Amino acid sequence: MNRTVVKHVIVALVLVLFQTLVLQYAGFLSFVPLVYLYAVLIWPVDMPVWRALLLGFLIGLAVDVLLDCPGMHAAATTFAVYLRRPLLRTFLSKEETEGMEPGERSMGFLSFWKYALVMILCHHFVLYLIESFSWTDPLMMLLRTLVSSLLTGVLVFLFERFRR
Amino acid sequence: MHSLIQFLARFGNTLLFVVLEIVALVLLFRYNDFHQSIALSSASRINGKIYETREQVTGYFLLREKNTLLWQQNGELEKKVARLEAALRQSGREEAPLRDADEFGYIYARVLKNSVIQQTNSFTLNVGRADGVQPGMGVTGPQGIAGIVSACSEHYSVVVSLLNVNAHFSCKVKNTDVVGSLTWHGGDTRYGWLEELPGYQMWNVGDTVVTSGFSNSFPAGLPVGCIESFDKTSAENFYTARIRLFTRFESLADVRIMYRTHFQEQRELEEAAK
Repeated sequence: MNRTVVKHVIVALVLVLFQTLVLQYAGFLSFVPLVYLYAVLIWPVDMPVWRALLLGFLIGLAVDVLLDCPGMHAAATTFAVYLRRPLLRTFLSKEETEGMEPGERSMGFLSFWKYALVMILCHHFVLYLIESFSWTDPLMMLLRTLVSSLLTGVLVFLFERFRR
Repeated sequence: MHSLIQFLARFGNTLLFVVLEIVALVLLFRYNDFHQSIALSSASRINGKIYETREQVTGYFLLREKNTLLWQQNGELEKKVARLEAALRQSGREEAPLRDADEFGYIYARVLKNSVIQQTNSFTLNVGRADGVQPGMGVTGPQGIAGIVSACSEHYSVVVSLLNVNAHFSCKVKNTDVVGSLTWHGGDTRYGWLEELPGYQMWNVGDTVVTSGFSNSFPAGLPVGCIESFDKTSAENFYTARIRLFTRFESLADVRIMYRTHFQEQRELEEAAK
């Protein structure tokens, strides 16, 4: 149990720093993978929802603070976390085991990717929707959602290759 | 009491979700207050340290290109100085007329953290109040103006970039009196938009755009960009021109903060007059 907690804390820290110190500079135009969401994707299936919500909010807030844009990432991540449980329930075809962590191996390729893609799309959509409130160009917003989701998806795919 | 517990057990998570979203949105919509307070920004102590460390690593990248650029600029400046000195000697005057140019001084700074892919971009500098930086001072990069200082802590400051959809900069077309307001519409970091330009006859595609000098932040005549194309479809008598910005924001590393030598005096006077 403790090892799992430590592992998830480290994953979240590394991904938040990777996002804000490296990826944010690798984006082109306004498309950027938002890969810190992966930390949320792989939390245990049976994690209490209230805990997931609070931690998701904190991860988003950390990204916000590091990027000088309070609130946006916190709002989007909290939203994605709120969807997590129902999505897992919908897409999980296998029997749910205690402490199971979503992944290609544990859930099966198709189930995991249905869950991951919906999460990514929802998170990115909410983020760009909130960001564009001060500036309205819905087509650009949708384009950013789609392209950034694709980029995030590619990175999540790579992470899954290296997962034990 | 019993029903309250029942309610919480059933809707507690949703309630928590709603509360967290409200907190996030409050943070978002009071962005400017928080930005000013700097506790939650990249100018705060921990963030400043993180980005300072990052800059120590990335600062070495692209050094060759930056060197070349500096070398070229140095050459241009030397040429200019020689030309000016020659002109002064010819007219038989002393250096007195040049003293006007001393009205502005420089604080040299490095960019610790930079963003170009948000809608409201900003960057963080390694100097702060202790170095004499104050909100409102203008910041220029090697090629042109870059932004205006929005908040300072003791050792760091945050600068609102030209690439900010909420920021407006007073600019004019070089060698004319045509004044407009420069802003950014998001997306492409190479282009800004000069809005509220009067009739087309007074300026041309290809003209250089410089600072107007109407704000306290910049002296007049600093390079900003050049007019690439224009848009007629805006309000009847006004035009919006697409400006190719000189400053390359992606690779912004060394900047100068401009301070008026009488900044403090003027500020105090303005305060007193209120």
